[in-house]
Amino acid sequence: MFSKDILTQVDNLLSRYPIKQNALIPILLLAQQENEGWLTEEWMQHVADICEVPLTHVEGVATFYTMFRLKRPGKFHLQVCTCVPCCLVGGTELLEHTEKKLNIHAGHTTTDGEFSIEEMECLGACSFAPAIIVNEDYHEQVTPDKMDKLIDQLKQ
Amino acid sequence: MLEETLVLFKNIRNPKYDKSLTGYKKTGGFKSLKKVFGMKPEEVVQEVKESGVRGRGGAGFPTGLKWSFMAKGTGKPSYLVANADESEPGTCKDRELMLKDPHLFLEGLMIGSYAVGCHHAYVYVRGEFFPAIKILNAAVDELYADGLLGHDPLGSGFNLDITIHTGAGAYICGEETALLDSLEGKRGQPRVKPPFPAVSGFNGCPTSVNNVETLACLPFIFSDGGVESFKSFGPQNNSGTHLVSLSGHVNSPGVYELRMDVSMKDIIYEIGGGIRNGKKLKGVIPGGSSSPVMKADEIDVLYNFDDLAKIGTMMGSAAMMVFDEDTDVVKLLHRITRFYAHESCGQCTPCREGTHWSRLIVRDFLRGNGSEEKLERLDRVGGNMLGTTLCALGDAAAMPIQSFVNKFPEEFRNYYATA
Repeated sequence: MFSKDILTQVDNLLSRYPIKQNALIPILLLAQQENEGWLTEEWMQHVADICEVPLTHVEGVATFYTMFRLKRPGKFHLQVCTCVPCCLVGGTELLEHTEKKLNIHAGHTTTDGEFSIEEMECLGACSFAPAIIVNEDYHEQVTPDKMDKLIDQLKQ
Repeated sequence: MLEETLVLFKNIRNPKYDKSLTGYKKTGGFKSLKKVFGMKPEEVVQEVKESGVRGRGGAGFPTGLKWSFMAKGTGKPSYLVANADESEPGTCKDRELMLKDPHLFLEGLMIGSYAVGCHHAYVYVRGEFFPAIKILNAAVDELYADGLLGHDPLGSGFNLDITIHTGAGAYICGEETALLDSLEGKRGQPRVKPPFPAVSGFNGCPTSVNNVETLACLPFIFSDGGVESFKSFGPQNNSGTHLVSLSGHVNSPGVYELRMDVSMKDIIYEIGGGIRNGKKLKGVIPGGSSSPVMKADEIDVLYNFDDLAKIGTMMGSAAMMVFDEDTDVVKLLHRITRFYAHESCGQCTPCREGTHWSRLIVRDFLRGNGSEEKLERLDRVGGNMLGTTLCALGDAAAMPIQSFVNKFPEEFRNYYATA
């Protein structure tokens, strides 16, 4: 489970809150990061033990928040915003373009495991729409053309 | 020509600004904190009341008043939590502050902490804001290294820690009691109020939750002559400058800092450069997706809390979404209803069911299955969510539905007239 290195981070997180359960979400995010972007029951149990809460509590949390994934995402996870300001300036079309380009629908992963697409609610970059996040990086005012270039770059 | 009034963005608009602690101090940073440390906490609260600053997260509640509700003498620690869960569609102003001038916001957070007697403040940042989280963590590390955080900063005898807390993607966590549940390590579901967080908040202790931009106003308010100038930036009860997130079909979308006595028309046509491609304006969603929509002929109004409330809408988080004559209003409402159906936490029946059914009814129109009866039903489903839920998400979902139906009924009718 958590490597020694990461355990230091976990301990540091635990020390910042009055009770262990308070650190659950940041620690669960660390666990997901350690496990290539998704959570398994084993990892949830591990975090449950660390935060001293039942596994069912962790599962409840993991299924409530959209950032927790219970299925392996692609190596490059493309999160395309189609919420109100983005859809006004081409976010929906950008999502459709991306789906065609990668030949998968949002919510799915390419067969080689390289790319996955997720349709997002507001990413909070509305004045710079349409916005996407690739893994942890924001890209703003993305056109279908820019998206093609980005995907081609990531493929290399 | 309307121009920005720079208070919060004074540093950000300077292309040579260095946002590190050294750079921030060079611009006079932390002078206000020093001044505040020489005052009594009650005096700080009184001064904030005097400035008239109202919460910039959407509700517009007076900040000083909120702080004065904090329970005292409970024997429990008090907390200040910065709400950086910016996720109301259209809003992207707090992100600008956190990315480009983190110490301004953190100084405000420290001033607020002193005022409410908090020794450990938390910043609840939405999880998707990876770059902002990194910048804030680095800024907090700088503050600890400099001795401005931790034990006895500036010889004040006041101890303060700050922790940057990461959320995990849920719109509802912007609601303050859902945010506190989430901060406690639970699903983010709004609580029954009362008790309000000022009495029982984080882990049952007195807590104040304040928006990032609200806190970022504090260093200016406590600068020399700050209160008076702050009040001069807008009409009575709408003091200060505020950050307007302008998006949609304008030539120059962006985040702009404006006084509260400028008209929406000027913001769209002068600051925003007018409607792109020479099109005509059809309407504006004035304050985040939850605010009632406005038609093009209604925008000759001052953009502040009270003037918008007078005409039946709201300024909310000052997120203005502009749409042109070619916009399909039914499709736009469909996208909004999808948002609320996705983000309802599922706790209260009117909201859980209402957001779902309203989405399906709007979709019926798009599929050519609309009818006069369904238009009335849509309005009714919206009405049944208003004021019937624990938090404001039900209202937030209902207001766009009812306003779209009432202001653009012909567009819904066109769908079934031509089907």
